[in-house]
Amino acid sequence: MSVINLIFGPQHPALHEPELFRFKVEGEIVVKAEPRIGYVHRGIEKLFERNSYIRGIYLSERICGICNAAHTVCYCQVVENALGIEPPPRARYLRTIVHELNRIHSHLLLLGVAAEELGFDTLFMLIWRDRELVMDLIELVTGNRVMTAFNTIGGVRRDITPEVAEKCIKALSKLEERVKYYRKVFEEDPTIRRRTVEVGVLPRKEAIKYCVVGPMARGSAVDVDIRRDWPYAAYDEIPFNVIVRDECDVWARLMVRVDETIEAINIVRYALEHLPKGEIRLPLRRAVPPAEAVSRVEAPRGELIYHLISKGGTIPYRLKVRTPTLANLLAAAKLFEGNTIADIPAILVSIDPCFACTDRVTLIDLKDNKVKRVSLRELARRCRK
Amino acid sequence: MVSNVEDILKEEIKESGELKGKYPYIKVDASKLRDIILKLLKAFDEEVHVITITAVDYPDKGVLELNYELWIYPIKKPLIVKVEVPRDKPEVPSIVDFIPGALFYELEVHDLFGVKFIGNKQLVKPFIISEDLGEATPLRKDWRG
Repeated sequence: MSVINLIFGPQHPALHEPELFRFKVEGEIVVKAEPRIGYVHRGIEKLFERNSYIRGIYLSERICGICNAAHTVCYCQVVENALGIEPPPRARYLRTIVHELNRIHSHLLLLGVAAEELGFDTLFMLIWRDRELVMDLIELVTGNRVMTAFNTIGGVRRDITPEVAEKCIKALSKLEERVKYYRKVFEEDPTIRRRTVEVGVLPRKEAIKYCVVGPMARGSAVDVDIRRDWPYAAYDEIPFNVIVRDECDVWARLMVRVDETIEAINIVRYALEHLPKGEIRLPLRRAVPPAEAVSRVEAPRGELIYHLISKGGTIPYRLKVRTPTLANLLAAAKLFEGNTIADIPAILVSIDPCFACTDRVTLIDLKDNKVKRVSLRELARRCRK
Repeated sequence: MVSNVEDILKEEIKESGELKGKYPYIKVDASKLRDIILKLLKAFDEEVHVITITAVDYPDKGVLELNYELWIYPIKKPLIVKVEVPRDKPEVPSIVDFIPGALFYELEVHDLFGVKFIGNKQLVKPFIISEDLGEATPLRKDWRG
């Protein structure tokens, strides 16, 4: 049978972000897959070298809209490491809370999209309906649904009142009930199982060889979680389980995310109940002494690293960012091989791809999933309204 | 199993220290890079994870510094291997045949800094930058777009 080239993208039918995949197919079977990335490359690493450390916070959260909290936590930590300061305990707990709320929203977003890609549209709509609960909480705690700018160098920008904490705990119990129901659906529903079990298998050895990270690694029996292995924020004081599964297929990767959502709810609840008293940030410092610092966080999609080189002054000399999707994409391309064309969306969604962060460089309005470009003047006009 | 990385790599290390954030680093010659990765893979049961390769341009010193950021699963410790290559002849041996997961990071550094990874057969341009940038190396300090 002759090999046919099948082009997916850059305007991808299954994804809401531009990316190109070139599949070589023989009949229904994919024999080779080649990703082509770079369609949303914005040159953010170069931009960091021209903007102050303070502007860097806002720049870093625009690398990825969905996991913006992970990016600002990591950015602020790397600058704090270079400065040799540590945020006050209350700030570390507040960071953890927002970081985990962000994880809940990101995982629910993905589980919804996964249901949609598997052809289970009702489940997609239900999950996204319940995801609104956490979006409202993020707005309540930080002041905005998506772009929160909550973290700052030396702490956080807003405090939580006991009333807000109480509202959070109430909403979280409701959400927990719903997520536990979705866990049952993902675990037992015959349609989901048929589409995902033993599809896109990535054995542990391969997962390590291809350097995969996050839920993709944990779904392949690689016991790794930066929150536990290299604790930051308040993770050394909060008890939580690292979810590892050894089925190594699409289903395992989805189940890891469902269980992590439940863990994240528990983490937020614990942090809210044990919130230390005190300051929420240290005095602002604009200049950073010459130093080289590294910081890693467990973003919803996996390990995120920032490497900062400062030569003194108010602008970084170099800031390197490695986002989790870039680490997972190479292995994902291998996963397609041997599976059918119909499995392509299921496998792709199981890595939870986020191409804007891979290319490091577009802002997606999660309300309507449209990419918007707004001029500064327009933004100012809207803000005044 | 050995727990101290420095004991395994004693002969190769030119300099060692710690970056802020408690990340240990070692400095080695570019020619020794493959030996080091091989030794680490052997010592730690092939369970070495390449987090990324961070390149930094130092025009004043005339070098590009490559930081191979590693995570060693069995001992749960990070290690940064620093290698310097001259700016005018930026060549370094590729490690993709040992750790295939490093491919995208080598391609990224090749794209943005023009470093040639000798032995990497998939080194094509452009990987991530726009096609109309041609042979440009935008993250070098002297690049003006």
